[in-house]
Amino acid sequence: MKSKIHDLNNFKNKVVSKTKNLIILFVCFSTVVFAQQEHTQYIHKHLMRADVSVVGGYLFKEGMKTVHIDGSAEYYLDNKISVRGSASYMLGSNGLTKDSIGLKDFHSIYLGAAYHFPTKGHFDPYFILQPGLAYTSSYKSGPPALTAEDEQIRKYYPGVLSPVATAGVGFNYYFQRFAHLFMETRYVYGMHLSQAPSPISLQELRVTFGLGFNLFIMKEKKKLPTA
Amino acid sequence: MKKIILFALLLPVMGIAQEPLDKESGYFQLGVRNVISTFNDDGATGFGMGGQFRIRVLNRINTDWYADYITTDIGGLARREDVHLGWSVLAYPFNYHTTKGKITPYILAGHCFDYSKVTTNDNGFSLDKFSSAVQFGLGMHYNITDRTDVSLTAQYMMHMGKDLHAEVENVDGVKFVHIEKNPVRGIEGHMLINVSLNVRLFDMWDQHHKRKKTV
Repeated sequence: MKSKIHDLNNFKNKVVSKTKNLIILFVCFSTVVFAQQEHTQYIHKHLMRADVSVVGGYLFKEGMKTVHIDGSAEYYLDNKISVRGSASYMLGSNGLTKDSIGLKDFHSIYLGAAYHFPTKGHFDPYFILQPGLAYTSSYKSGPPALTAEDEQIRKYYPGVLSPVATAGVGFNYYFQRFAHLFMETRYVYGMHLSQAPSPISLQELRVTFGLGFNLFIMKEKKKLPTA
Repeated sequence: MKKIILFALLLPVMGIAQEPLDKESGYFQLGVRNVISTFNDDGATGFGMGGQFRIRVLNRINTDWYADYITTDIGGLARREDVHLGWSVLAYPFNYHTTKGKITPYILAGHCFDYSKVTTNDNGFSLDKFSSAVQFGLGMHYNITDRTDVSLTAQYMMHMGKDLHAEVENVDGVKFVHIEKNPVRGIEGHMLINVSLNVRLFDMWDQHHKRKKTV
């Protein structure tokens, strides 16, 4: 009986020891593979990426909060410069200016370029500049409703086109062949000028993050070594 | 003596003749821009956006074809909208090689067609005009890469047409805006500063350059 328990303990120790060795081997192998990735920059010419995300914004001059849905498509001209087109649709805003003017619509399109800082690996930080054009409209909020049945009276003004510009920083992390994580923060500048009694500053800070999709549409031609 | 003077005058021509012919010409660039309009008659500063494409005709001569849309707030009581459609010639008097890291200054001059509209905020009353303008100024390209550049331009634009402007008046602490359009044609000027991002897409005279290489 004692010998059987001893054999069992020996067997257990052997299994645990072999398992430990396998785990150590696996971890070392993983670091070797990871080390191979870190020497080569993932991004290069002909990479296309796209994403759709929810964006939180804050019009800090007016004290208004906004929520947008944003989509973008980007093409890398090389490993430093990419061209990106974006479109943003405001789902809603919260708050009024000091003149009781609210923002009803703030939908915009942007086109610009991003500069990608050189890195080794799948991490891709960048700085982006995009001029754009926005469709904006506003309303004047009336006095608060006296009863639950009464609706607050609002006067809506016609929409206008407003030039905007945006600058931002962010990063992509290409963890998969066709997918990546991204996070971005940007500053938007513009002014809403309409028939409303006072203009609305469109200066806004936006933050977004999410999952994007990417694809190399062509293989990069490798330069043959000259004799 | 006359021969010596003539030879001295021809020396710079010999220097230019040594430049490689057509090396930088033929490039087509597409770009987007933001514009700031200052020193307007209204005293207000406008902000706008636009785009342009460039066709480089010679090593030292580039052409820029642009469109801008600019809005200006006039004292919170009125707004001005300007649309510019025009072209400029850019001349590179110093270096003309647009390669990574290079700063390439230029002189520009050109012409544009404009539409302007001023609208009061309270009742939507508006006046508008069409005009023509000439512009001249200075600028520079900074090449982020061989194919991409950021350009900064400052130019003075003189509009020739009926003067259209808005004046904000303060009467007993209450502000009023008065819009007027002068029936007599005159000159109205303002300064435009624009920052643009440009990407070189292709060489329009690719075959011409290839043929020169094979010769």
